[in-house]
Amino acid sequence: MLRRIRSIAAKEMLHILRDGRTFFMVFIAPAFTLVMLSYLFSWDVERFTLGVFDRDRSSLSRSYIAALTEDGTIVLEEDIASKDRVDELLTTDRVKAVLVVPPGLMERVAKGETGQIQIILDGTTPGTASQLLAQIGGRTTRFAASMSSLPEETLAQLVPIDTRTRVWYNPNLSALHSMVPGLIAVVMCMPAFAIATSLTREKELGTMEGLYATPVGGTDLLIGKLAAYLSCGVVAAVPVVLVATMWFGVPLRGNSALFLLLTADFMLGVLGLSLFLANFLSRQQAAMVVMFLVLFVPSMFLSGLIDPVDRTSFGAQLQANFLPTTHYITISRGIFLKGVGLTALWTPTLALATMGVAYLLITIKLFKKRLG
Amino acid sequence: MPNNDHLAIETRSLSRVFKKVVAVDNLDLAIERGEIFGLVGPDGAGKTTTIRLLCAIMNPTSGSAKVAGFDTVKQAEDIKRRIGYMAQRFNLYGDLSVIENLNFFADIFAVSGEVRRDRISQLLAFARLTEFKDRRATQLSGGMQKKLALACTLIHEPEILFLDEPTTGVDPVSRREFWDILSDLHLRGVTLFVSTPYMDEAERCSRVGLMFEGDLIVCDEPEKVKDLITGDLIELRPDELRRARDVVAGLDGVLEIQTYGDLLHVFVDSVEKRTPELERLLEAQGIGVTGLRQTRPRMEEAFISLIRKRIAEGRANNPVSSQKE
Amino acid sequence: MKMWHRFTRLVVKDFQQFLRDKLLLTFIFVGPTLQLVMMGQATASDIKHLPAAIVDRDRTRDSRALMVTLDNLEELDVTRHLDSEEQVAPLLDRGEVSVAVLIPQGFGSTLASPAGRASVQLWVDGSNILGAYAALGAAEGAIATTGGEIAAERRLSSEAGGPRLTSFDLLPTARFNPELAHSHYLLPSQLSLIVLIVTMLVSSVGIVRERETGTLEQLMVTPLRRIELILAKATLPTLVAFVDFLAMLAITVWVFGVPIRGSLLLLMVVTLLFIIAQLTWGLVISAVSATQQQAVLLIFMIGILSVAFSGYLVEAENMPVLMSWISNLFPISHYLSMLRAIMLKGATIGQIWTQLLALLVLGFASLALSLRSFRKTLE
Repeated sequence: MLRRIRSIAAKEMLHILRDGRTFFMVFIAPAFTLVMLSYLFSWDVERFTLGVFDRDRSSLSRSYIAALTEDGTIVLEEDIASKDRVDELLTTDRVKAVLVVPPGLMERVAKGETGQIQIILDGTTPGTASQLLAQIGGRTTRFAASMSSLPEETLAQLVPIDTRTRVWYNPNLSALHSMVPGLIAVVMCMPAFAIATSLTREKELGTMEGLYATPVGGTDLLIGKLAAYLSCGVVAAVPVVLVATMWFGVPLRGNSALFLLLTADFMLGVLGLSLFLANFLSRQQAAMVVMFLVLFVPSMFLSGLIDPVDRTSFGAQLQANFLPTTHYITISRGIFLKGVGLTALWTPTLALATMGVAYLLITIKLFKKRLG
Repeated sequence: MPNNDHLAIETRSLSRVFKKVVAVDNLDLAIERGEIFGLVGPDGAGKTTTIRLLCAIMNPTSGSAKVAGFDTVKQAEDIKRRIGYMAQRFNLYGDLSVIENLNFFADIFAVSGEVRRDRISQLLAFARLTEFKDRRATQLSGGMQKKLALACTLIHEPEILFLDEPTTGVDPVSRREFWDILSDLHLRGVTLFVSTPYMDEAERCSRVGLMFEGDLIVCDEPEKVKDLITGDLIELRPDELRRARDVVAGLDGVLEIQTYGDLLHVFVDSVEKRTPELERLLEAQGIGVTGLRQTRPRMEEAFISLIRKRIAEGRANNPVSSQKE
Repeated sequence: MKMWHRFTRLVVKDFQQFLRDKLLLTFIFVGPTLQLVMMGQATASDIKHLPAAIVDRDRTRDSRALMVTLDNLEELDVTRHLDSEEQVAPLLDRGEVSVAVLIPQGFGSTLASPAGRASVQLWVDGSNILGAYAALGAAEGAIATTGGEIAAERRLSSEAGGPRLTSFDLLPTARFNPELAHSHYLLPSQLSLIVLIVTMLVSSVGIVRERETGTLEQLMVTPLRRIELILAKATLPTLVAFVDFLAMLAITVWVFGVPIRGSLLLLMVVTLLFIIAQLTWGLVISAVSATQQQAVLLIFMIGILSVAFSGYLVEAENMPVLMSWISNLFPISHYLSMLRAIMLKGATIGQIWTQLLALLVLGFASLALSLRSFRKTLE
């Protein structure tokens, strides 16, 4: 039996290497897609456009605005003269927010009252809006602090608790550094597409029918295919890692050999799942559609790639845990950003291995060497 | 079922139904070892389904079948070791070369070492593919691909070979070569079960079975099948084909008329009676005739006639056959 | 008149074939619906219940009060109470907690004295930035509130008229999307993507299938004129994509509550223009694909490219210059911008005319290109 598995694996390898479409999907598409998708998620905003409706026009308001736009991250797009202009600018996307300084601000602050400044944000892009708000908030606080030159003790009286933040693994909170390792997990699903297409293509073409009439068993066929795609998958991970580290500059703090090993683990899980799904399908097109809906889309949205998985929702947990991608994202972020080893990652590693073997065994059990 | 060792293939009331269609209807077959059996019939007759049932890759809805002495449902794997199956659609791997395909099937059937090397070189020679052994399967011509597919089914020297329309879409020369190979196998004692739409190939079989709408209408030696035709064939070359045809159609005792190029084939119930009538009729109409003679009906005519008869009779239960007992 | 008959006959036949293709139908209606629902769900919940660890080395009333405040936050779920900071690292490494709050010894006593300034450390897992932002935001907010309360107490107990800190209050309001709901932002993006894919899929697959089965050749030897054929082939995808759009729009508006503040008519017109512009891409794809699988693969790749460049998640302005330039070549970038403007901002035609113009220009250009390539395939 081992010989048959070997021979089927060898045949599959030849297919993968010789068929242009499959070769592309297994070896080239992952790295290519990573580049594309990473740009999609590099939402580290470097430049915000601001409109200012300064109704005070005092030296205070002017120095405030100067402080806001000092380092170039926030750019003053327009000094607004009238109220109507506010709407126009926001609607036509010329500015992301409008700062409205009320008349009499300087007097109020001089009296010791709290100055109230209105910010009208463009809510259509909440991510940018929150970031801009945070930026303005931070600068405002610093501006306020610089205005009051108070001794340390008084400061202590007024702001009793000081927070010192330390961001682990990703000190600049770079979206790119966070997303790229996660996206690696998503693009490494491509070999899974290829294996599902390959299985269904054999059914469509009729080569499968010929095999049914031979002593080849489901075990030989499935394990052989899996072995071939698994090895190719691990090889395909190399250009992907190179793109991440060299093109996007994402750090690889852990052990790259371990990453490749755990990639093999992931391949086991995701290819097992694909074989399981492809077992029920007989057309290539159906395979592509199903894989897209069941693997790709959930991997983008339910796996913890963007939003962390909701730990209190049972449904969300269930979906996330049965998806191989979720665990691989943990592994990927773990090795790239956290620099950890197997001790911290044994849970997802085990989950993937178990899942892979389980899917494979079930598929072997369900496999029929019969038509109809 | 009693163990008939001399039977390679045996079926009892074998049936297969798909939703509302009866693809194979109560089939009873008994194929001896060493026979070449030809299964003929129009599209949708049930030939492919029959072969699939016999190769144990499809389960019957009722009835049973034994191949090489093993039951197709319960002992499928025993059968698969002993048979070769060449499916109608391609079962070759296009990306792989000729030799890689052969090696692959050798692995599947656990044929290795010296034995494998010898057999492969024999098969390559047999199929005249030796000089093409490193060429990718997709780059072979249609005829060569079929021969390769055949070679792949022979690597383990099966007792029984099932071929589903093996020469469809192949040029006449390659077809002939293909059948030379089959002939050779036959002489070596391999049992062959072939389905084919080509009537001339049917003539090369030891016995021939006509299938129509799931039923086996006829099952006998080719000559005997032709004998079943009630009627004789008159062949003639009229000057005006169309008019002659219309005219002859009105004659009593004419069972069927077919055109063959410029020739008219007229099936009549009795040559003695109708030939003079025919000549007179055509003369009366002023249609000149040359080359009028009686000929033997060909296999094709025999089948078409039998099918027509079956349609006319409705679904009668008794297949017209004379088994080899 | 004859031409009209031929035309309608072709369209009807295309339509019948389309309805029989169960796979395509399923994908076109079920697929996007599933996507919308999943996206709607995924983004409906703001980030909550992030697991947090607290290291309390003070164990006074004040430290415990802080702990309770933190635990009461919706965004955080205090799952671990630890004794020392060494215990934090493995938890962060494994991803078991998103944030750790370290309260030092002497926290309570420092705060008790009127000029005491205590320090609290926040260690946050930066590997998932949305989680990090949420955790940090919530924790810092809670700590600032606690600090504010203590400051207020101190001010009361100290002399009146003490020194004041200059402070500003920022009053943010979000126009167009007051709750900053992610769904309002993402769902229109999703909608545009669905229209994109459906348009290209139906327009290219139909033609490729005809080429595969050989019926395209047969059409060519009929009295049909080239232009009629092209127009007829374009009718079905336009109809299907538009109907699909309306269906998905209905779900977006009625199920997820995304508003349409602008003119629905304008929205529909703009969508139709987009469909037609995108259709031409489908024609080009059909010209270069020999099999349906190839077409689907190409569409898939283009879909990803379009999404990446379209401002789906990242504004065009924030992309590197080259990329934002390229993004202008994709009709979807302009369509998405208009879609958001009309639905969320209530923009009028005068306010979106630049994008509209861009879409028209692109549409014409690709129409010309596709006509030429299509004509070639017919020969």
